[in-house]
Amino acid sequence: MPPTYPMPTKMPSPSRTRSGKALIQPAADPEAVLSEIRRLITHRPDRARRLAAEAVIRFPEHARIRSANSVLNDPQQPMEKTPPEPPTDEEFEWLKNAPDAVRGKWVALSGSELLVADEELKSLMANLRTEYPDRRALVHYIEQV
Amino acid sequence: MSRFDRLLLDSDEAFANGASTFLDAFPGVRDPQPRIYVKFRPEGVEPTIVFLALLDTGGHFCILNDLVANLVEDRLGERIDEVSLQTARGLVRGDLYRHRIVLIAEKGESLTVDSNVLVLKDWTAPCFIGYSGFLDRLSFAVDAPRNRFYFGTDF
Repeated sequence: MPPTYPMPTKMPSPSRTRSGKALIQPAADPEAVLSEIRRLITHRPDRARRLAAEAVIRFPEHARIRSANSVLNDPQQPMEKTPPEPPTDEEFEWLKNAPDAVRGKWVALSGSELLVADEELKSLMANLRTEYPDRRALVHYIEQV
Repeated sequence: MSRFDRLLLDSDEAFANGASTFLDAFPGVRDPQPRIYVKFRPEGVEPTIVFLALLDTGGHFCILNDLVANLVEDRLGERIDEVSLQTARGLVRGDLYRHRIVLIAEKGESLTVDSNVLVLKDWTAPCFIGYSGFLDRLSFAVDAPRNRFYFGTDF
């Protein structure tokens, strides 16, 4: 029979490092902590999450730290499931063979039909709303190469 | 129906809620290397509109250019702060928000995910579906020969 091991009854606190040391010093300035969270977000997101979790306990009145912790550690809103949508094989084929004339433009495709091409997304969307309000459209930007 | 549709989407043990065809190459980007482009829509955009985003399992966040983000500006979620990010196109700065993104399925169910989204100004590269706060909440699989992307959640 294989050996059995007791299951942990409590997960390690997110506010401690692996060695059990707090990430935030007692005299820490909340703005400096927030800057550190910001710096870590793109380099060490795991550490940013732990620091934000500790910071919100240390500085519960600090709105931006609460916001940072909310964004980093509370992404658990239930996902919504909605019906499937029509395939876009024809739009994909069109994109693979996009003409040079649409480079540098946003395009709106419905099947193999180019509905609108425009350098500005905002005006393309306005055009779609007025000219093709009920048409499904795949919208994408074709870069200049 | 492919064998993978049966295994990943239609069986009793399947993990996926939805599946969609992805685009893996087209000349509409400056960097024409093979990539996986999946269909998505920021919540708040008309449900008839579909956008493409590059699936980036190495990416920190979902990235929207500010033009796409402006379409839902009044409904854009909580802003955390300005963030700098090193990308293949250099160092960029943008605003990090919380917003719901719809991952569009052709079969099964589309999923709306509450996500961290970086909004970048003057970003002409495609939008990105990134890992932290989006893909790390999903189970997903790629059937590359058939250009099929499967995704699902236990939540």
